[in-house]
Amino acid sequence: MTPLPTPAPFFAALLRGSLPLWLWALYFAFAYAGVAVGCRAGWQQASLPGGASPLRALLLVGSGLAVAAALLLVVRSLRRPATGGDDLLARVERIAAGLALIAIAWTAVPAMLLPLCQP
Amino acid sequence: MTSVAGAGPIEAPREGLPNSLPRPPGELERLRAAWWMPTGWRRFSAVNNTYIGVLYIGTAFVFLLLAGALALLMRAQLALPDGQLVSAGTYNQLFTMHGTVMMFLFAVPIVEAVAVYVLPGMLGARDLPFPRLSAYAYWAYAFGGFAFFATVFVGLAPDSGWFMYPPLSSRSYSPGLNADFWLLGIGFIEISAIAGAVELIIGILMTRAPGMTLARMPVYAWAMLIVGLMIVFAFPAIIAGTALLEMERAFDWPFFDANRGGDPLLWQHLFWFFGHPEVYIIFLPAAGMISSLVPAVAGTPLAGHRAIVAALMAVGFFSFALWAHHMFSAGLGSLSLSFVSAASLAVAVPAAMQIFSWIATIGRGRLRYDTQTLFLLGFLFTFVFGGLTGIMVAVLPFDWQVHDTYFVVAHFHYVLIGGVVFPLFAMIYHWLPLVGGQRLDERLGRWVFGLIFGGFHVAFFPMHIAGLLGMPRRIYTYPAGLGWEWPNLISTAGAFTLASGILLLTFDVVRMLRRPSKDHDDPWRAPTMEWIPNEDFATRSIPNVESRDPLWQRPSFVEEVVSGQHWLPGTVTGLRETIVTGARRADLRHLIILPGPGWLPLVAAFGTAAYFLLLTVKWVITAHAFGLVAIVCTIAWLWQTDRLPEATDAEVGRGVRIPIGAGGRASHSYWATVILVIVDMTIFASMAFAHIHVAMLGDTCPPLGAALPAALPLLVAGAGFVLSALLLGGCARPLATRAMSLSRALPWLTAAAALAVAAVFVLVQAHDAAGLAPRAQAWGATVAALLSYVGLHAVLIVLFAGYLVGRAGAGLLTPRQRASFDNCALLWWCGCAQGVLVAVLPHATAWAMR
Repeated sequence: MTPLPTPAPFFAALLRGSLPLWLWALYFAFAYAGVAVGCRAGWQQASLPGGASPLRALLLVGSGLAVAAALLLVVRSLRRPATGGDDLLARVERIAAGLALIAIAWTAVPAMLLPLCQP
Repeated sequence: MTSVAGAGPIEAPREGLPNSLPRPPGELERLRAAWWMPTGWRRFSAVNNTYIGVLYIGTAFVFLLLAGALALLMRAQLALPDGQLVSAGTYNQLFTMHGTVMMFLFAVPIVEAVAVYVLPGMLGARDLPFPRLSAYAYWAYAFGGFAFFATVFVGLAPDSGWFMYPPLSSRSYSPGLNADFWLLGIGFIEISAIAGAVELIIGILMTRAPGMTLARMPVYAWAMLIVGLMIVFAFPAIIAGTALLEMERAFDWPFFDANRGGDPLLWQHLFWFFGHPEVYIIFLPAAGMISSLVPAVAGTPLAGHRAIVAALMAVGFFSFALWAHHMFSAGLGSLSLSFVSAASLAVAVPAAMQIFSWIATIGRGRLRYDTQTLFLLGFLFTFVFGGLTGIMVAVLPFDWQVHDTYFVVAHFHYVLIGGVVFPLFAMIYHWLPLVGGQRLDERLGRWVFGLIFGGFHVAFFPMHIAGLLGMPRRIYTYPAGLGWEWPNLISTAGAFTLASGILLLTFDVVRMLRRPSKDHDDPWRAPTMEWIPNEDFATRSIPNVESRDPLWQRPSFVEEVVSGQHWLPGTVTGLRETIVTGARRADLRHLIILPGPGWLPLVAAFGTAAYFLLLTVKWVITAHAFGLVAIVCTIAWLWQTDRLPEATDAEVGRGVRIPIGAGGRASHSYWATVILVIVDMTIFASMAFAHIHVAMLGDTCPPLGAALPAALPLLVAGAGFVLSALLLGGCARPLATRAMSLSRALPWLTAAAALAVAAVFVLVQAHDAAGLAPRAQAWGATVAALLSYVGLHAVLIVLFAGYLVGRAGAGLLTPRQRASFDNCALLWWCGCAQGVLVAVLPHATAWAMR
C-alpha cells in the first residue's frame, strides 16, 4: 500500500479561519444574556462609585474586551504571512476579523448609550 | 501556460496523469455493471444522486406550483374590497398552507435537492457518501409532503399562520386537528432536512476529488457546507419547539400557557431561532448558485473568491443572532432588541460584499445576455431592493410602525422570491441541460423572464404602499374607502402575470424533458466539473484537480477524465466505490463502498411519514405499526452496512494503492454520527433553555407547589449513567485487536443498557416522589419534557445494545468493521451525558435563581 501523507489538520485551520466570528458570537451571547440576567438580578441600580450601575459596568468592560480582542485578531491576521495559494482559511481569517470587528463595535454602541432594563 | 478569455493565466498541467491509456478491456463494462440503474417500476428503488436529485427537484417544484395556486386564491379574494370568494376560516388555511408549503416543502427541499443532484459532479465524486440516506430523505419528504398538502381538500389544513404562535395554536383556540397536522406533519420535513444536511456536509468535506483543496472548492460547495452546518444548529430548535407545543396540546403540559407559569414568547424564541437562520439556509445556496453561474455567463473567474467565502461564513454566524428581530413588538427589553437590531444591520455588510463581488465579476467579463443572465440580473436588482427594506425593518422604530403590515409581506417576498426563486430559475436554465442534454427555448425564455420579473414587481411593489397605508397581514377581506383598493387590485393583476410566466416555464421544461435525451456538452463553457460528460457512475475517472476552475485549466482535461486517465477509472471490488480525501487538502485517504439500489429506504420513509400523519389523526395503534415498520426497515438497512470486501487495499492510480474502508475518526460514518450527536445535543439544549426560561419567569424556583427531588436518588441516577458509559467503553477495548464475540458482547452490553434504563427509572421516581405535576405548572412540564427526552434515549440505548449483540453474534464486529459499534457508542454516550445533565439541571437552575 502506498504510504499516505499525514492529513492536514482541518479543525485547527477551520477554527483559525472562523475564530473572529466565534468571538463575535461569544460577545453577542454575553451581551444579550447579560442584560436578561442582570435586569432580573437588579444590577441596573446605580450602586457603584460614581453612580454607575454594575450592569452598565459589566457591559462596558465586556464590550471593551471584545473590541480589543477583535482588534488583536485583525492585527494578528495582517501580520501573519500568507503560507501559499492553498491556505484559504488563513486569508479568510483576515476578512472575517474585519467583519467581526465591525459587528462587535456596532453592537457595543447600544450597550454604551441606551437605558438599561426598559421594556 | 494556458488561458481562457479574460481568465488570466492558468496553472499548466503537471507531468503525468494517475492512469495511462489504453485502459484494460472490460474495465468500463465492469464499472457500468456496478452502477446499474434498475428499470421499469424497480427504478423507484434506485439511489443514485442523479435519479433521486431529479425526483427531489421535480417534487419541490410541484409544491411551488401548489403553494402558488393557494396564493392566487388569496390574491383573487383580496382583489376587490369585501371579497366573498372564500370564508375567513378557509383564508386562514390558505395563508398558513401557502407559507408552510413554500418554506418547508419547497424552499428547504429545493436547495437540498439541487445540491444532491449537482454537488457530486461538481466535487468529482461518484455519488454522495450515503446514497440510501438521500433516498430516504427524499421519499419521506414526498410521501409526507403530499399527504400533508391533502389536508387542504378536507378542511383540516393548519390555520394558525406558518409560525403557529400560541396561544392561537393551543388546544383552547385551535381545538381541531389542524394545528396537529402542522406540528406532527412537518416532523418528517425536519428529519428529511437533517438527513440531507448530514449527507451534504460529509460529502463536501470527505469525498471531494483529489487535489480539490479548500481553496479550490467551488463557492457553491462552500455555501452548501455552511448551510448544512446551519441546518444542524437551527433545525433542532424547531424540533424541540414543535415537540413541546404538541405535548402541550396532547397532554396539557402548559409550556406556553401564561396562566400556569408558561410563556407564549418561549415558542417565539424557539421558532425564530430556527426561523431566521432558515431564511439564510435558503438564501445562501442561491447565493452559491449565483457564484457558480456568474463566472460562466461572464466568461471570467469569480472576483473576490476569498471575500465571498468569508462573507458566507459571516452570514452563517450573524444569522443566528437575528431571531428576535421578528419579536421587535413582543415587549422584550429595548436594549436586548437593540443588540439584535445591530446584528440585523451588521449582516448587510457580508451580504453586500457578495453583491459587489458579483458585480465586479460581471464588470470584468463579457456578459452573455441569455435567459439565465436575465434572471441573474433580475435577482441582483430585486434582492438589493429587498435588502434595503430589510435594513429599514431592522430599525426598531420603523419596524414598530410596519410590523404585521403588508410592508413586511412585500419585504420578505422581495428577499425570498428575488433572492431565492430568481436564482433557482436561472439555475434551471443553466443546469437543466445536465438532465437530458437539451436546453430550454431561449425565445420563450425572454417571455418567461418578462412575465415573471414584471409580474413579480407589479404584484409585490404595491404591497409596500398598502402596508404603509396600514393594511394588516392575514386579513381575509377589507372594506372600501381605506385607500387599499388600487394597491390590491394591481397586486392581484401582477400575481396572475407572475403565475402565467411560471406556467410558461413549466410548459417549456416539460416539453424539453419529453425530447429524446442526448449527451450533454458544456453549453455555457462553464469552469466546474459537473459539465464533464458522465453516465450513471458519474465521470469515467475521478478527476485530479489542480485549479479552482478545472475545465478552464487545460483543453485536454475533460478528455483525460472521460478516457479514464485520472483516478479510479473502473471498479476495484466490483462494487460501487468512491474515493475519500482529506478534508483540508483533499489528499487520497481511502476507498469507500457505496450501497446500490434497494427498497428499504423507500419503505422506511413510507413508515416514517405514515407514523407522523396517523398519529395526528389519533390512529395510535396503526401509527405505531407503521413506526415499527420504519424502525425494522432502518435496522435491516443498517445491518447491510459496515461490511468490507476481503481485499484490504486497492490501486486507484498507477502504483498508488489506498486502503478499502477505514475505522474510527477516519470513517465517514463516524463523522456523520458526530453530526447527529450535535443535532441531538442541540435539541436537548433547546429543551434545557425552555426549562431555564420558564424558571426565570417565576418569583421563586421551583414555583410554589413544586419541589426539587432529593439529592441522593439524583446522585444514584447520575452514577448509573456514568457507569453505563464506562461499561460500554470497556466492552469496546478488545475490539482494537480481535473480533467481539457474543459471549463478551451479551453480558457487557446488557449490563450497560440495564444501568442506563435503571438510571432513567431512578430519575423519574425521584421527581415523582417530589410531587412532579406537569399539568399544574410550566416548570413541572419542562422537567417532564426533559425526562421524556432522556427516556427516549433509554429506548434507543436498548435498541443499540440489541443491534450490537446481534452483530457480534453474526461475527460482524471486527477491528476492520467496527463502525457500527463506534457510531452506536457515540449516540449511547450522548444519551448518558444528557441523563447526567437532566439530573443536575433543575437543582442548578434553582441554585442560580437564588
